[in-house]
Amino acid sequence: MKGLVLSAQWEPRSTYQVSEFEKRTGKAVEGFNIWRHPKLEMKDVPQPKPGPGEVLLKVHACGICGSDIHFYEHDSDDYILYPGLTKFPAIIGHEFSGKIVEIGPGPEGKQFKVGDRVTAEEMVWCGHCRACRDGFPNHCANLEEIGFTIDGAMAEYIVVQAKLCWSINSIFERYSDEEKAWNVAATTEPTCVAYNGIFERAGGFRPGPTLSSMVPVRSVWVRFSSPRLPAQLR
Amino acid sequence: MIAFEVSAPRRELAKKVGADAVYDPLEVSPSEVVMDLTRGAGADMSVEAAGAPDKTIPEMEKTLAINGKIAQIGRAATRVPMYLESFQVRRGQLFGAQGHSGHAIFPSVIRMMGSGLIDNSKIITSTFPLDQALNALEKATKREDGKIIIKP
Repeated sequence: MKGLVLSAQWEPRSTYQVSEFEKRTGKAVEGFNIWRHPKLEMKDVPQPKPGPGEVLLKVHACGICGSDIHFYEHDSDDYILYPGLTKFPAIIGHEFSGKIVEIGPGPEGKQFKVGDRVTAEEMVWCGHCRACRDGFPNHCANLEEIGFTIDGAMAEYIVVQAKLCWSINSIFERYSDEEKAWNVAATTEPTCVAYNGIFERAGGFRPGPTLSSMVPVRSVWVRFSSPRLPAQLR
Repeated sequence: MIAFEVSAPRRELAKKVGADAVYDPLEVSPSEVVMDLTRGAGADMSVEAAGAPDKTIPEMEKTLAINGKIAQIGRAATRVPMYLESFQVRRGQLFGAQGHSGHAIFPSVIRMMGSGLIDNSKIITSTFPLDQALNALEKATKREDGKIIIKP
């Protein structure tokens, strides 16, 4: 199958102290201090097989995130601009929707059937570390990230853990144009990042507040703003 | 809802999806604009999603309403000097946010999209077939689009 593969050289900057975690796992915690000479290529790669607890998706839509742009762009020393957790080579792309075409063994995939339409979380939380058990999966100690440390969705197929998949049938009920529904479903992930920040973390807002936002519009925060400005604005 | 965005096409998009007022932060003083529009009350919530907190947080802390909140969502590996006196005087809080998992977030957002409370079709401005993914990324670097979608 075709996939957009990002490869880069592990060349820590002379000013950067590589941590024991980074040495042990090959995962850069501070990607922009380690990954040099990034190269993005459309490659022919083997179609992945779903293992226990996993499903194989035919990808129907994958959005481009600012992070993807920060893999494509680099600084004057040819290091990637993206600062975070990364392990290459990997297929990039983490805002996606697709159809389940195969279900791996194990109970996790039983909630789905072949043909189901889903989107998925990008954070691959383990479920057994202290943070996960305490109810904080976004702070998992064994975190992998789809399209950052493991293969992502700018490809024809992707294998994803079933526990990360969510049905998007209601989005198809909303949009009669099927392609539009797939595309909209691929924007679920960035919208969830906004929701997590504004409502889960910051506790949201009561009716009638003023919000100010410094945003790339593609990240859709503004759509949460049902509250309106004071009357003098209208 | 007041939005600040440096890209002109994205400012138009922001208006289309519900912002009441949209400004180019390079052309105005964002903190003055917020204080003016709120008649000195300040913002109840500020959202940092630009990944440029060294530039945005100093503006946001000047516009904290009493009990005002700042959500840090954009990523940036940079130190940000903060004037904590503002947070004391205004009873302010800053929240670090990472990720999207748990807390019933995915099913809640999908429900809002399915019911029409959020219509993200408005922010999708380009689609490219998978074999043109590199061209799509090149276009994305121009920062003129809303969301670009690749279609395998």
